[in-house]
Amino acid sequence: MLVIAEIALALVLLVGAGLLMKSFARLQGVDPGFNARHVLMTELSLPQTKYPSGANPSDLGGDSTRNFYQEILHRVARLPGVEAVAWTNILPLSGTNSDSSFSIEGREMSKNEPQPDEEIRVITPDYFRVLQTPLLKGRFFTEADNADAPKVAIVNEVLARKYFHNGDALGKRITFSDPRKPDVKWITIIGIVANVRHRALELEPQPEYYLPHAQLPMREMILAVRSVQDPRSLTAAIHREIQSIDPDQPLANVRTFDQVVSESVAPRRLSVVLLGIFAAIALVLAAVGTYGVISYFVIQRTHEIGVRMALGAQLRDVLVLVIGHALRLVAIGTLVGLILAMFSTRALSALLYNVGAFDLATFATVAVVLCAVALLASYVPALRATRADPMITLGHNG
Amino acid sequence: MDDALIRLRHVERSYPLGRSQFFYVLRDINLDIAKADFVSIMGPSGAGKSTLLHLLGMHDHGWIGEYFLDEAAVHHLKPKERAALRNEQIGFVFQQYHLLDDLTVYENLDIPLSYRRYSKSERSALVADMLDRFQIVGKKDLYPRQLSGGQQQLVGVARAIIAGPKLLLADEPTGNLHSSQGEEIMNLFKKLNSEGMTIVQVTHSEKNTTYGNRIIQLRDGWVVKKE
Repeated sequence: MLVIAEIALALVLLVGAGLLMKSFARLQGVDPGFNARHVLMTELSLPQTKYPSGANPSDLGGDSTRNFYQEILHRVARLPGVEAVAWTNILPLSGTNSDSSFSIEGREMSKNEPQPDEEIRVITPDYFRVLQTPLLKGRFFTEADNADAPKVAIVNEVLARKYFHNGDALGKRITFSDPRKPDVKWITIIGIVANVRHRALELEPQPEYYLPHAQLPMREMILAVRSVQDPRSLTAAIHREIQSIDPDQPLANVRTFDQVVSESVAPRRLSVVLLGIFAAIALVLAAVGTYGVISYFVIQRTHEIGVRMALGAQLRDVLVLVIGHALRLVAIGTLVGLILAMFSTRALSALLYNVGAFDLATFATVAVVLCAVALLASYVPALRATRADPMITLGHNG
Repeated sequence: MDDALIRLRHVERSYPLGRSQFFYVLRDINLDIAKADFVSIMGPSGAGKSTLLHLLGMHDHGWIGEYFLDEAAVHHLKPKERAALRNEQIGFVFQQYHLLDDLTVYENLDIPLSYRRYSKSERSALVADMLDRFQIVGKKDLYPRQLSGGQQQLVGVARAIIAGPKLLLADEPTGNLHSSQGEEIMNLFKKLNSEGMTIVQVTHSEKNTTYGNRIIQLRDGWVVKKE
């Protein structure tokens, strides 16, 4: 009974761990819409006293902010090993987000209809080159898209498809102000980029639009540097360049983009590791339990085994007898475990990505592995049983 | 002896006691047993009787010398080949019956057949035949604990001969039986022997030896007397 319970419990835990592992593996295989390798991140926050806001109240930073960030871009871009460098106000998978409502030119909204409100990012021209997010149509921002140039925006594919027929967003205009007013400032969509999974790897990409930092300067930004080498080796050089412009500016939260991605799935990884450890312990306990029970079975039936060998049983027959007994226990334990697992995995559904709670392959693999381990554990006592000496077990009268 | 079923030549069995020291259980055994012989092995406790019986039954492999069973040179056979030869030629009867408690009489009789190449229908026919021959049809569904000692040994003998061996080895077959039950078993042996079966029994009973035609006396591992 004990070994049946051990096997059933091990199977429940192994199925859970198996599903989480498969889910985690699938999550790791998800295309996030960017390449996080060889990218270094660091955050900067410019104080308002030193970098005052501009004349336009919607600008969160003024010319001094714009110039500061621009100068750093130029300097860091010249560092050896740097492939591309950009600023962004929000990093994918970092846990922060920002959204803003807008109006679309020529689209009258009824009173009951909510105004479009989507996720917004402020970036510098090379941002998509740093992230290696593909351009699908149009163009990226350039340095020509400055404060004096016409306002421009880039949207992702989801936003384009959500608001524009056939996703044809190029050349369309949006605005943050009231479109019915005469002095409305239109922002022209000049590019469509691939979707990025911003909130989490397991969540579908949301509509996003990007504005150039030169036209909407902000004081709190994140520097993203793509390197041809280990990006961490650039930390000191980047720090030096920033200090040379403003010695009071510290580097905050320096990390690689890989770390950011890794931290975004840390809770899932912890679940996988913990359940994996419990499952491994349960598997070992099941193996030890099976070994113990079958050893006891062999001791109890040594006499019977000796008699059977005296009556013609070959080694194979003894193995079949002992392992057959183990197989019956393992089969019952597995069956009970499978039934329990079908209930328990429902609780895991919320943690699974792209894997069903009743994933047949996982259930089958776990059952086979568990049976194999349990049978292997029973093989040792079974082998011992074949060494039963009929002369001893049948009594030897001299 | 041309009609010998068993030939032992210079057979010895010893156990190591320590460095270069051995305890000899059987010493220089030279023995011929003819087909349809009924041989009784006698001797005091520790004389090597059961060891000789288990050696003949190929349960023991630690001996040296030559052992021919129906012309097969057992001493040259590998353990697996010995087991096959044993299954084909030898049946065993034990003093403690050694029936399997969890199996019925029918199932106990079926055990030796299950380890040989018989089809299921052949096994059923042989078991039915044996139940009938030993007049225990009515007890086929009983468990050993539900039988008397004599009945259990009857089943033990039936189990020993069900696969048609040429040689029946019996270790104190009546040792645990009431005298009348013992007589019944010995009469059964006598009948089997008269039908051509070679029987070798280990016994302390002078009376039991009268059912056979030869006596071999063992003492301290040596054959001291052959009749």
